[in-house]
Amino acid sequence: MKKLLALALALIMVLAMGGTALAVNEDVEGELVIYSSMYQFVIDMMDEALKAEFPNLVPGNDGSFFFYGGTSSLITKIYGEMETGTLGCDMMLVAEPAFSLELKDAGYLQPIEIENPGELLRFPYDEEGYWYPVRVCNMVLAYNPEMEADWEAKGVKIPHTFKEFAEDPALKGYISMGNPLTSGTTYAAVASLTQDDHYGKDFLKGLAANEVMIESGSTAIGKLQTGECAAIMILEESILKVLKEAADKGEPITNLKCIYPDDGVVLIPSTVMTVAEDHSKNVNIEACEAVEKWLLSEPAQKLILEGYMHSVFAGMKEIPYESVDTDSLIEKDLGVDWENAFRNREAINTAWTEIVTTK
Amino acid sequence: MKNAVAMQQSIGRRDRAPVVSKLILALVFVLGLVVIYMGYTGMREYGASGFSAESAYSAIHALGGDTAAAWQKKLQPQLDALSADRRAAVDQAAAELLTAAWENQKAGGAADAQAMLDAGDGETAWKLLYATYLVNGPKVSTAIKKELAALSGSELAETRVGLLNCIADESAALPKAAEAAAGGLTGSERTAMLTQLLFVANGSAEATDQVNVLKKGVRDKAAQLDAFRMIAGNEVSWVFQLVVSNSRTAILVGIILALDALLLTLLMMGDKTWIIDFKWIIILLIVDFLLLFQLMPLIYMVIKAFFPESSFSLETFKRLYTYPLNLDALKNTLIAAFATMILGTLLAFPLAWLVGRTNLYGKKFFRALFVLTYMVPPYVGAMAWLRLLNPNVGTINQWLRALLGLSDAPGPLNVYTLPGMIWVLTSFYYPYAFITISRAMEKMDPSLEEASRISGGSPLKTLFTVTLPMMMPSLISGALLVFVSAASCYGIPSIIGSPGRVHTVTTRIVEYVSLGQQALNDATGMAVFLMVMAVIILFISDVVLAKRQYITVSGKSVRPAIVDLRAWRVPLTVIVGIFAVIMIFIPFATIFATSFKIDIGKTMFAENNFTLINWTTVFGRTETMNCLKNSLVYASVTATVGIVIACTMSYLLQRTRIRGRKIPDFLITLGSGTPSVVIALGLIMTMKGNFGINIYNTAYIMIIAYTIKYLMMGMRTVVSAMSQIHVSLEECSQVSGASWLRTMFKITGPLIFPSIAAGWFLIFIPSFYELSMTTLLYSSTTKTIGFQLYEYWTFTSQPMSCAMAFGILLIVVFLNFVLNRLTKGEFSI
Repeated sequence: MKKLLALALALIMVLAMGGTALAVNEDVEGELVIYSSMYQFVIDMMDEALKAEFPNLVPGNDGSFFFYGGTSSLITKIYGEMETGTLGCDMMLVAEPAFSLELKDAGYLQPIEIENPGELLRFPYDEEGYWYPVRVCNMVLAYNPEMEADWEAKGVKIPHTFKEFAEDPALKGYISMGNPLTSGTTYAAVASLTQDDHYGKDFLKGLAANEVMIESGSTAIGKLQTGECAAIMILEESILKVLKEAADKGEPITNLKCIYPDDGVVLIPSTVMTVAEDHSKNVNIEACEAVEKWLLSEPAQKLILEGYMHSVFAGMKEIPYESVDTDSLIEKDLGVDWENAFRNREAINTAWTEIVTTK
Repeated sequence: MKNAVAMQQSIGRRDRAPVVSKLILALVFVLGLVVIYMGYTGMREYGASGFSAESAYSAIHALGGDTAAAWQKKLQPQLDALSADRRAAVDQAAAELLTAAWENQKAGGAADAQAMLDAGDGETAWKLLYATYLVNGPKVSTAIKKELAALSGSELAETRVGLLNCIADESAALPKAAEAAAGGLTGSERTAMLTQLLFVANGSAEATDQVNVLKKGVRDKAAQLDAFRMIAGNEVSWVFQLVVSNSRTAILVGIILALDALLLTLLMMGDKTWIIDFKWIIILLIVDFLLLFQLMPLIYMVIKAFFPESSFSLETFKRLYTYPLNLDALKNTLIAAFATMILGTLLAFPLAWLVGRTNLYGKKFFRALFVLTYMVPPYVGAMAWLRLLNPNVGTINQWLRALLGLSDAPGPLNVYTLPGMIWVLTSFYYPYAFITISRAMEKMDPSLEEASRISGGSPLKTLFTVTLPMMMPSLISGALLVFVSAASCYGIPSIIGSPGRVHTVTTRIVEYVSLGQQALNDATGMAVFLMVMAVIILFISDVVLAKRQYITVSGKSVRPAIVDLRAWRVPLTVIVGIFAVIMIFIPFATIFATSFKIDIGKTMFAENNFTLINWTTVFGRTETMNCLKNSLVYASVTATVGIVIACTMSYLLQRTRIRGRKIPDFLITLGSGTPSVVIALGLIMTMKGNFGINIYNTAYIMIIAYTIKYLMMGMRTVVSAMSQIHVSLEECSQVSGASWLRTMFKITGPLIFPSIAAGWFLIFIPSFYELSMTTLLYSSTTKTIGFQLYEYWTFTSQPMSCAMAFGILLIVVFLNFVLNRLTKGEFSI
């Protein structure tokens, strides 16, 4: 179904451009491999669209442009490949700006010039062109509305702010979140919430006192549904995806809901990066540039919305399924100091480890 | 007379054998050195080239040939056909284009080009330009390439002439095919495009693949100039390109050849007959495999940990092993692995005895049941236990609270603790010990037990004084497998331990590998602990086993005696049944029930909560079937390769006294003790071509990774079985004239076949659903069912992943059943 949708979208895009799209991009040749941690079905849609948009570009990963992996697996793979001098890809659609800054610092990225990025994008980008945001994840809280009354009967109030999540003693033993040491988005959220202009280390102390459960993967949703947890800190897209898929099956569920915290959300742009010529798999910068520009175009951004993530495109009014207006989210975005998140990674991780995960 | 002649000939051959053998060995050794020298020469040449990959030489060789052919067949005749004026004009244009192009490549490039032009003849500029434009010439659009390709021979010839005329004279009319590309251009840009069109019309587009190889092999623009010069001069002979392009592989092959010759010499010196034995060749092949694919990656990583800043330092280890959280992780790992080993073995031995040597009711059923937990990925089982034993709403906790009249406060049991983790680890790893012990029990000679019974020993006394001591090799092997598996497990600690802040070495390693390139050293440093632990346990087990002989099969073995449980038959059946319900039925029922749910928070029977869609969706997808096929193939190949190695190693360990025979055993144990993520990283770093082997993103790298990790599962089982077979049986066979191979196939093989079958499955099953290494090593066409399951689990839907996990279980059970039937019970677990 998703593949059909992708094909249909690609066809519409081609037709909408009056047949000129192929003519524009048919000169983009060679091979290309992109590492990406987007959902597989989004990758499938993008793959089909890219094949239509760049008919002479060869998908370098056994018939696909994309190599898919979870963020932490891909980052581990990239670190391993860095030991050999060349990466197994030409582009990356993975992780957040702190990782991009790390790769830029290590000389692994190629700057790509995009026209008027300031007008085109509504999220931070690298002014030298080493990375641009291409999709936006949103760290929120979530709860099970069907069990709200049960929790209240136990004296547990569903939190409506990150502060309550970490510091309300009634939630002790009933909250869960990801591991910032293995999840880039959780790391970004922790880096933001522990900034001095937000909650500082008190946030970590609160989590420790509340005995937050640290999960690997997105197993926390099950804990909400079974009533093991009252609230979890999770990416909005994980919740929206479950809701949409259930609705698509004709069996909508009502036991999951996002809370957009009153004290702000943490918007985490995920970046697109082109690997520097010296380190890339196929030395095909021209193709990378063309694909990077396409990713920042409206058709590609609409596929991002299909993947329950927010568009980086200024002026894009559409939002992911059952989400809230992106611009209003930007207004209440707590923001992440990416330079701090990059430079002080060790200090932030150590604080987390010693305050939250040590008994 | 005939016999006497034959005997004389035989003696003659035997007399000549040492000389021939020594000669062969010397030749192999010298060949190894020669190959190393060739590789070294190639490396030196390559090192001096400034190129970034040896593959550049193969591209330069191919493009050199293309350029020479294009020059001779097309360019030269066309240029020669021009008038002298036009020829001078186009030669001048080519020289100018060349100097401009080279100056673009590097500052001072124009001077280099001019020097070459001054030293060369008329064709120099054209050949150099041709080579330069292959890689970095003006871009010709695909449409124009297609247009040129569509021209007939005469049209193409006309176009070439037209292009040359335009290069010589800017005012000449453009050929039709050049209008779109060069119509709007003027000056040198126009000349450059026309020249490129001329080259394209001469067929340079055919060399696209080689151009890409060259671009990847010579990434530096300045270094590319040398490549252009070599292409233009057609300087790289095929011998040269073969040597330089494969120099690292040559060095590797040379080292292996020389090492093999040395090892074989040592073996033969010990044997003293100096006759090359077939089995030694097999052993050497296994050692080579382990050296290349296991030792090299691991040593590379360990060396990096000891040389963090390119100089020796213990700083990494000092920092790691003084950090309180890591010490906590080490302590937890030791406690968890040790407790799981003790608990698992304590459970496995009586169960194996009850189902294998007594008249327990339903023993065949129980026997099949007790290995089921081994057949699903640990993280799926961990999730089941999490549902049952979480302190807040765990099903068992809710039952207990109701039963004991407790308040709604969390508890009484809490899976997110060290004991909770040990329980879940035990439930998944006791089958290692169970399978190993029960297979050995089936082949045990009953005469010793009969002697004990005749002498008045009770069944229990016989069990503890005869059966148990005689089962020691299998018991220790099983315990070793449980220990190593529990210590290097990641799935269960991450799901059960992490939420409760119970850290283990593997969870710390996975945290480290996500933290940066330097942190990879930390991950390796932590992994060294697990490697050392595995080797210590191996050493201890060897010391314990070396004290006695454990021959339980000595030639007249028949079916082992069945102990009559008498009054204990029913109570023991009930106890075993309860154990099966707790350990197997409840967690599996949880997985099964979840696979039919829409909302996992409600029971399967809640209104509108039952669905078959998870099953139909998962198993209706083509991708699932492709992944399933890949997993079956990879796991089968891994298990088969693994069991061949295991059998050979068993022979080496149990039937020879060759010095150093324990080295491969040590290596295999080391591999199994190493966490999966570290093995995968080691393979990424060393199998991507930088050490002469490039199997990155192929199925081979995955099969090798699985073999390294799970080979020990099969080997320990076979080794323990062989240790219980008396060598006299083989001696008898050989005295009767059978060859070594025949003896192995007719005598030893059949006696240890149940253990071989068990070993095959012990390797097959974890390889079938492997995850940690697969996520780092797969490519689009090598996705496996384990990866797919993880995908469903993490990003799609837990009910769907439960459907898939249960489906995997059914497939493995079915496979086991079919093999059981086909081989009349010989090949199954």
